[in-house]
Amino acid sequence: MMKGKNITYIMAILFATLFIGCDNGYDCYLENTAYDRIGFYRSDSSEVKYEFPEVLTVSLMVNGKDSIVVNHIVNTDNLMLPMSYTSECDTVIFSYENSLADTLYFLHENIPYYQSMECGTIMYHRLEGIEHTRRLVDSVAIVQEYVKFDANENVKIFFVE
Amino acid sequence: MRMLRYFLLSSTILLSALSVTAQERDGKESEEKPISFSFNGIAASADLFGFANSLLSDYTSGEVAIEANFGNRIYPTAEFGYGWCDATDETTAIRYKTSAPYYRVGVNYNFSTTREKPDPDYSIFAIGRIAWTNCRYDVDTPPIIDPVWGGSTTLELNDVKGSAMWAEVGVGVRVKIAKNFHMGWSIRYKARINQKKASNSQMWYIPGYGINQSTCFGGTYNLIYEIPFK
Repeated sequence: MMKGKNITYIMAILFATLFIGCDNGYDCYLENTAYDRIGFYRSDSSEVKYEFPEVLTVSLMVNGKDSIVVNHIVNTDNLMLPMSYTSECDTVIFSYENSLADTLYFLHENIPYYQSMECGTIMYHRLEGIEHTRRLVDSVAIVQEYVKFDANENVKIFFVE
Repeated sequence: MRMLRYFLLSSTILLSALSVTAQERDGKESEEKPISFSFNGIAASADLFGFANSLLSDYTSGEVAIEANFGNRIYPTAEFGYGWCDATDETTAIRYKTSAPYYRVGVNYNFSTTREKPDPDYSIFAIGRIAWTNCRYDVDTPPIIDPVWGGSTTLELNDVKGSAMWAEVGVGVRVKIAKNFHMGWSIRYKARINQKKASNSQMWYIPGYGINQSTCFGGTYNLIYEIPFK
């Protein structure tokens, strides 16, 4: 008798528990562009962010022409850059005062991802390497190779003072 | 949907309470009689709900089941089905295609069988299942346009492997409509346990489960033929 009663109670509790835990599941990213998150650092420290003191303009070389994405900002310590869906090497130009500039070449793999029928497709990237000139950029480090929709930093750029 | 959940939940608890009351009443009247779990026979059934569902949605399924009867109370059950999906989303213009078999094993527990009525013409039962499928799917997407750098790329997914396992609990009713023939329906709450994702996609429709979300509802409408062994 008790066994039947226990089974009945257990089934009722199990059913109720599953209902409480009900949700609809999908992670749906409505914006389909993942940005390369870049942090600025001084060349003598990889821990302390560096507020770049000069006026900075950032341009992308799109089809042989430069296209400005960040214009004349001062005292910034980070940057978010869009990456190309089709090219495997993005050319990015950092222009400073006095006509100085550094060119950075972001080598990457493009990873299209199908989310669902309703959410559509998105594009991830995997950073494979970064080459650069050395006007004010001392060195560059990839800290998270996959460029997705999280807030983690992907690249550290170390500047000489 | 929320109202349906509350209705099902309250129905389950009510049924449980009624069942406990019935068992207590039966126990007082005939405590000496042992509960029989003897083998009574095998039944085969077909589900009609999946085919009817194809009239309302882009996916459908068909399934058959075989169950053993122990004392008209416990029914170990195996279900075999096949699911199809060919859907295109109007907004994203993405087309998803798959077709694959699925499998379930589990048990039905009949609350209606008592010592007074060991073989009732109707039954209310609880359902528990573990289910799984292995499938391959195709996804056709429109060009993915780069809003900043320009240009576009395509994503072609053909014959992508996917698999999923899920659990089902539910309630059902069944009535005798002729000798050895029964008809019944069930409502099932499904919870996905795990799924295998590909590197650049995941299943949208899981055969036997439905749209790929962590939980969902399903139902069956069965015709059952009982093969008597006595």
